[in-house]
Amino acid sequence: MIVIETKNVTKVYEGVVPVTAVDGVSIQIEEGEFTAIVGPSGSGKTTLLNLIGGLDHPTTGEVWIGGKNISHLSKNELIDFRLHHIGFVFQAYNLIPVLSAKENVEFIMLLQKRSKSERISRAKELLKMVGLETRMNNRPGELSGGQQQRVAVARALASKPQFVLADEPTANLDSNSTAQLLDMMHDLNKKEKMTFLFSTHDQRVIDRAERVIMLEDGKVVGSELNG
Amino acid sequence: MITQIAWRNVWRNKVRSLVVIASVAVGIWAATFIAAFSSGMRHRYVETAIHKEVSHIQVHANGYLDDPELSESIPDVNTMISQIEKIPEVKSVSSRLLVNAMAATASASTGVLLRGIDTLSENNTTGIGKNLVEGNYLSGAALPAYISSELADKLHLKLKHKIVFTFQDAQGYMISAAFRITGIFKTSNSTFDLQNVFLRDADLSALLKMDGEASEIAVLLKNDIDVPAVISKLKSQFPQYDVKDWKQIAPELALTVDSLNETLYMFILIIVLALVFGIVNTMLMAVLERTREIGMLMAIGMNRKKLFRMIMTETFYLSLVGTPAGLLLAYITIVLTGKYGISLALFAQGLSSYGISKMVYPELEASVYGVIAVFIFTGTLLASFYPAIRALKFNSVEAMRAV
Ligand SMILES: Nc1ncnc2c1ncn2[C@@H]1O[C@H](COP(=O)(O)OP(=O)(O)OP(=O)(O)O)[C@@H](O)[C@H]1O
Ligand SMILES: [Mg+2]
Repeated sequence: MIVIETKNVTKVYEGVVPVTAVDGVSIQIEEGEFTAIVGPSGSGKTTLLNLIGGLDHPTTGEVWIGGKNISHLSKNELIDFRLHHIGFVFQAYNLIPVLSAKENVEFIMLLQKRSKSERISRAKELLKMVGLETRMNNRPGELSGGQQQRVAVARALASKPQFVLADEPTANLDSNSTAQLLDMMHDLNKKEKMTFLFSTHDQRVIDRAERVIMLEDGKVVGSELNG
Repeated sequence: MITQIAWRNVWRNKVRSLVVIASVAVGIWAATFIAAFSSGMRHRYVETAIHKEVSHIQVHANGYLDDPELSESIPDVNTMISQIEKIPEVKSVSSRLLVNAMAATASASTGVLLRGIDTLSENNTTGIGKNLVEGNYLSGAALPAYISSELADKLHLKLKHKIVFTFQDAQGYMISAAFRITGIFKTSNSTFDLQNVFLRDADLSALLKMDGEASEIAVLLKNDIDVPAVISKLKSQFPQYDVKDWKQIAPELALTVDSLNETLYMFILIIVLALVFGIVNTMLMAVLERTREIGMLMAIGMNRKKLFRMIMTETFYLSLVGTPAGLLLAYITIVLTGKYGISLALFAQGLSSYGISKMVYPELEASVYGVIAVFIFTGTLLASFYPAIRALKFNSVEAMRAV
């Protein structure tokens, strides 16, 4: 089943000199994929992920998520759509600093109006899965960068999304933490059948992806499967 | 959990939040104290006027107030007084025979109002005997006169000196009589002092041949709130007479009360405005500082309603802590100053001619605390609207890109 499909998507940033950040991209992501979008800085990775994640509207073209065209949804409809269908992991500033790891994971389920007992048990279970059962009650400021990213992944999964979108999740991490985070994401991909789409320009991360989509100047210049 | 996040957000920048809480508290304290001070001053002013001059209620013959003539007097006043004294709310009753006269000495003269009074009941009603500064209160001579020190100075008179009053009786005959100054008084109202001279009712009515008659009956009550009830009793008991409360007798008193109120509301408004600007500024800072975080919250799916509620709740907490603190502070200040009073000795000279006493005892009705709290509370909530709306305008992509 196709989870993500972009149909000839273009994003132009208007300005003194208009920038075509994403230029006629058409890609399809199947359920259960573990795919990296790679490319040099400024190639349009973040812009493309924002379009797929419903954080931004394409200038032309369409974005379909789970068989639904989200290109024409209003701002408010998009917020609701993101809450229920997409899990996000950002490069930094993922977590609410005044909440503990467990509360951060619970928070998204609260937004989804899930019951308290479900919230607590699922938050504990997910934090255990990402190896943070002993750090559940610590606030982000008391966690390492890698631990914070793992909480973010747990939070992304907590909302039971159709896929997890991660824009350079390892950009601020050392190689040890990078490896740990990727192991964990890969694990979740296999055990939970969770679809992951992430961007990176880190070769170690690219090597771990099962499929790689290459961007350059906003265009897809190649797509390959890693053996 | 949103309220929990809001509460914790309040304490992210402790100093800043404490400054806002403190300014809410100080604002409420100042507004409340000003209200209490002005209410104390007003009360003092009105009470002084009622207890020393006007009394709660006055009864006159129907035409007297329009044309204060001896012919418009109340006959058989003693029966009437004993009937009024039977009303349980009444504290004391005093009747007066009033006549305009020329007061003359060998070297000077001036117009005065002679007040023929029953010494005991007048003292019970206006306390005029307590204002004695020299001599005796209407005793110690065949025809004693009780005049103020202001008048004594003006006419170059001393104790035991003679003073001659010339006035017309009801038939228009001129009467002159020499009285001896046996007592000198001083009230807090210098205008009153210059214009009034007290004589014994018996002496004056004998000269006027108006025994048992009076121009005016002043009624002092035990409690201010009983005025309307006693007014209606008196009106039904004495329909042929003109019964009026202190507001009708001295409309300028009521006017002063109103203008004090207006000044008070201006003060409170200014304080609230200052607070509102302070809070807008602080909360705007708190919101802009968290641009990335708010962008992230919107990105993961926190809708605007919840975001708005979170930021409003943060402000709400700030005033929730500040408001009771300010009220408590104000309450303590008001109780203490209300007990010991605040001396206006510095301005006493000027105030005295308006009949305001030197000490002010701040006081406040419980309901006014509530009104002020609601006022400031609403102000702070209104102030949080703008920052909250600013946060809603964030675009999550741009917000997260912001440094
Ligand atoms: N809001 C914007 N306004 C104008 N131009 C923009 C905006 N956002 C991105 N761009 C431009 O669009 C192009 C693609 O940017 P984008 O952030 O998508 O690249 P990226 O591949 O994510 O780069 P990086 O690896 O550095 O994160 C760049 O040329 C960038 O300057
Ligand atoms: Mg990027």
